Amino acid sequence: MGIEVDGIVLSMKSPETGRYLTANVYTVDGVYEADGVTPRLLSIGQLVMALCLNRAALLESSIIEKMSSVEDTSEQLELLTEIETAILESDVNMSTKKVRYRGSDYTYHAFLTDIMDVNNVPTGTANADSAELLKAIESKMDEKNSFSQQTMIELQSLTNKRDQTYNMVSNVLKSLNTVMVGNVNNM
Amino acid sequence: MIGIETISLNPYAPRGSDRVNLYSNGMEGGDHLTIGQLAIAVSMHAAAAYESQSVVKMNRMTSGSDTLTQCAAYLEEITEDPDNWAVIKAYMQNTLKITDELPDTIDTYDRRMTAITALKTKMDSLVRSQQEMMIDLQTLVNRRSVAFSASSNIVRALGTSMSGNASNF
Repeated sequence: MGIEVDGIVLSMKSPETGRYLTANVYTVDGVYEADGVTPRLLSIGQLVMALCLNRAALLESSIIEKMSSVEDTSEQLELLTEIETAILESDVNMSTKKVRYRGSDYTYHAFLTDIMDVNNVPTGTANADSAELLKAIESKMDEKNSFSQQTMIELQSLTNKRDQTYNMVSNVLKSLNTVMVGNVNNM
Repeated sequence: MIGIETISLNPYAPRGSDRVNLYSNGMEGGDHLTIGQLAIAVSMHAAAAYESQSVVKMNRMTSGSDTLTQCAAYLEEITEDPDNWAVIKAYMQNTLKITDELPDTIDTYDRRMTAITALKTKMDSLVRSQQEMMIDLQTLVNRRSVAFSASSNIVRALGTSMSGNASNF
């Protein structure tokens, strides 16, 4: 975001020089008037607000990305649990029994092999005696659980950063306002 | 999948981020969520995934405990009532999947000891896996707690910035 400084002439003259006083205003890429073309002239407070909100928006996009990842992992974990339960409860044909993932149907074999990247998944029948397969599924679930938890912690960190950004806007605006109120009181 | 819905303008924000976003998480009732509500929904979904895994583990543990109880009863029977050996042997071979060669009768000390050793070895193995499952279960319950804490921390962080803003203005 490129920031440019501009000056607007006030209706007040300097007692020393006799020239009209100017006040600084700022423009920043991406902040425009309603026509969408003319850069909006911002006070310092509005400039801080624009910058912080942009930062908050970027952080929010990262937060949503992380949340999507957690959601996806949770869905995968639910399906892995469903498959494990089915295998533990009865004989399951891995090539005919299906789960629904992201709007498509996958056979247990296809889901475990292609989506979950589990090796040596049998194409025939599996049941509670298929110790190797159950071990592989549980190992994948452990991996997904750890990933989900790590992402959740990153999510908290990002949310805290977003929170700090909003606090900063609020604190800067309060401080500017305090200066203005102080000036008015002194006059 | 998380969907984004834009609902209104924020005149001060830069273009591209000048809107207030609402989200949906693709689940029933999961529409028009604020970022805080979305965080809660995502965390709850993760917690539910951990919880269903915990339930599977608990079911397996219950089933393992039942098997161990049955094994202990049969172990006692082997020493006290050799007449029931045929039933016990069938259970050991078919249910416990013991592949060691088992005697047809346990009328001598050596044969009886062979049967007892095979059953005890299987019981040791079952106890080990029960213990592993217990540790896995603790891990899952901890992860579930972390998911709830994360939800609570995120909501608190969002609330802190809002109350901070309100108190400054």
